[in-house]
Formats: sequence, C-alpha cells, structure tokens
Amino acid sequence: MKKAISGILAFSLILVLSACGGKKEAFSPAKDAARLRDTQGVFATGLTQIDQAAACALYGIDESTVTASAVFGSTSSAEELAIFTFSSQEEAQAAQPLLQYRVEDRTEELRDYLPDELPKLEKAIIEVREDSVLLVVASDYGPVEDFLKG
Amino acid sequence: MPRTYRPSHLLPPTHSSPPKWLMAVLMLCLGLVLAALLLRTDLGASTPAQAAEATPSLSPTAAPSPTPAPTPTPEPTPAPTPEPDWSLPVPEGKAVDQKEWFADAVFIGDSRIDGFKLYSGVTSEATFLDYTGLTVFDVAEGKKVIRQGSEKITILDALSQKTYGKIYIALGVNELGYYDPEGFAAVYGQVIDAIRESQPDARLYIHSIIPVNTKKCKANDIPYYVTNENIIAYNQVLPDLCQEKKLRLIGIPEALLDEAGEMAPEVSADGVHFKKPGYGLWLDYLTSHTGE
Repeated sequence: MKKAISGILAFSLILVLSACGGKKEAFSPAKDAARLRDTQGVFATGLTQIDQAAACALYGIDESTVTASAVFGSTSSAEELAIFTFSSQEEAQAAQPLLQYRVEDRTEELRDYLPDELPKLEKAIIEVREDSVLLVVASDYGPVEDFLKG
Repeated sequence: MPRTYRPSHLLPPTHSSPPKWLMAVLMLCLGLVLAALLLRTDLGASTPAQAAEATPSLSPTAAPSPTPAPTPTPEPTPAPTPEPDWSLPVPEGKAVDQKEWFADAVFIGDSRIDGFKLYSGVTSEATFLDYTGLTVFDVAEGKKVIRQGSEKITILDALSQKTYGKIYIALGVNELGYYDPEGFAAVYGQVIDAIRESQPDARLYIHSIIPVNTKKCKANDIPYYVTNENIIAYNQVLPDLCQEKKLRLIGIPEALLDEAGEMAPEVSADGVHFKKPGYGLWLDYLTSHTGE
C-alpha cells in the first residue's frame, strides 16, 4: 500500500512537472547540463560524464532514438544529471518511466548503503519538454527549480 | 668326240644350275619365313590412337621391385597438458581488443562494477548484472536486484537469459563486515556452482578485491570494517577457491596502487570507488590479463 501511494505520488509529481513544462522549449543537453553543473550548490560532489552508449544502457533507453545527450553521474554519491533529446515527443515520453525506474532503483540500492543520499533521491526531478527529457538528482534543488522556471 | 678322263678334282667347277624343283622348294621356304615375319610385325604394331594413349616411357622400364611394406608410424604420444595452477593470478599477456573481447562478457558485481560500467569506457555490448551493495549472499539467496521492465529478477535468473563467453565476478567489499573469509569463500563456491550450471561453457574470472585508500575512506565515512587488512584476509581465500573450482583469478592492477599497496589517492574518489581514470586503468588491466 505504502509503495502504491508513493508510486502514485511520484507519478503525480511527474505529471505536474510535465504539465508545467509542456509549453516550454525543449532542453538543450550540452547547454543546459553545463548551466546546471556550473550553478553553485546544485551538486555537492564532482560529476563525471557518462558516454551516451553507456548512459542509454544504464537507463534502458534505445540509443537509436536519441539525437543528443548529456549525462553525468557521481562515483561516490546519488547525484546525477541526464538530459536527452529524441527524434520524437513520443520517444521522450517513453523515456520518462525509465528514468523513474532509475530513481526507484537507486533509492533501493542506497537505502542501507548510503542512507544520507536518500533525501536527494526523494526530491529527484524528471521533466519532459517536447522531444526532450531531464533527470536531476541534486544536493540543492533551489537553483534547479529556478532553472526550470526559466 | 671321246671323253678324256680327268680326275674329278682336276675338273673345272661345274656350272650347271640346281634342279628347278629344289629352287622352288627353297623359294617357298623363304616365302614362308618372310610371311611369318611380316605377320608378326603386323600383330605387334599398335594403332595411332593406341600409341597416343600409351604413356611414353623416357627411361628404360625397370623391372618392378617389390613394394616394401610400409613401416607403421608410431602414434606420437601427446604430452600431457599440465594442469594450470588456478591459484595463481592470470599473468599479463598481449592486450586484446576490448570491444571484441567483452562483447560476449557479463560482469557481476557491486558498486565498483557499476562504476566500471559507467566510467571505464568498456563496450556497451557487455552485459552488467550489478547492484550497489551486492554480496555473494545476495546472489546465493536470490535477491531480486536486476531491473527488467517494471519487474526485478535475481542475478542468476538474469544470467540464464543469455549465453555468455566470459563471466567476470567482482565481489567482496560488502562482505567485509562479516569478518568471515571462509564463510565468504564457501558461499562464493556455491554461487560459482550455480553459475557454472547456468553457463557451462563460459570462462569464469574471479576478481581479487582491490585495496582501498585508508585516508579517503576515513574522510568519506566509509564503514570501519572496510580496511586493507580485512581485504587481505578475504583475498587470501580466493586462490584456494580458484584452485578448487578451476576459476581464473584476476589479480590486483598495480597501476591502481600507491607505493604502500593502497588504492592510489589520485585514482580514488572516496577511498573505495575510483575516479574515471582509475576505471580506465582497470579496464586496461583486464584487457591484458585474459589468460589468452
């Protein structure tokens, strides 16, 4: 029951975020990733870029549908930043639940291993804009929300 | 005119011809001999076609000598292949093309393997069955840790879905808290048996546990039991396990260590995990330690 409620809440959050972002411009992977990474406080640990092929395998995304990406992870924390653009809006929508699975899996993995990282995962942001999708697991979400408001 | 007597030996040679009948007999005999010779020549001659078919002999035909009976060649006795010493780490060899080598490989492991997957540059053709915090006990007990759509399945179930050529297993860090290397080896052996049953033709590689960086571990609040002393104790049971189960033992990449034998600080992220260059060095080690 608890899992179902948390799942519904998470999905509702995604829908709200998706609706809010529906009229905004698509993300630009390289440009927006650089902006978020350069904003002080968003990430507390250094992020390392992940190759597109490895990133697609990580999230279960079909790489042939990806037109551009910028994916970064941490070798020692839950922090993560992923921005993909796809060849169609439908493919961007299809990627959304895959990113949600990623957040769920990391939450489960780190519950005992790095429990201090769980608050970051609980506030993870997944947003779809046109043919693009963004995932952020940050240390401070204030600047991320400012960025999303534009 | 009367005949005058002369002794016969004083008589001049008589030139009278032999009788005709004798000449006829002689001629007949001569004819028969010639006819016999001609007939024999005709019978022995070959037709042009036969002559063409005949293999010309450029050398005198030697009288065939009896073919000597072949002396039976004794079957070479294959030198018995010495049983490899499985307890020794795989030695360095010629580096393989990692994209080709790891295309049919699967990696099973914990967060270190997760980092290897993301940051080493290893081909995305390789399969990864990893989970942060994974232990041999999780594998043996069938903990469902592998995402498959909306479901999760066990490592062994995921492994059974495909046939692999190589299986790399890197576990041990998360088991250190049990302080039980023998128990670790015993369960590791059970896991190996299950993997072999699932993948009987795959090469199995077991990775030694790579040391940590003590200073960075303390700075990053890594659990107290994650020490190099403990890692050494756990690594000491791996050679016997490899010998018993005939597994290829992967040693510790020296490029990842400092002069004290700890994980070098420059490649270490938090004491346990690597920075991206460290994962690259790890990949280099694996490509040159395949046992080929």
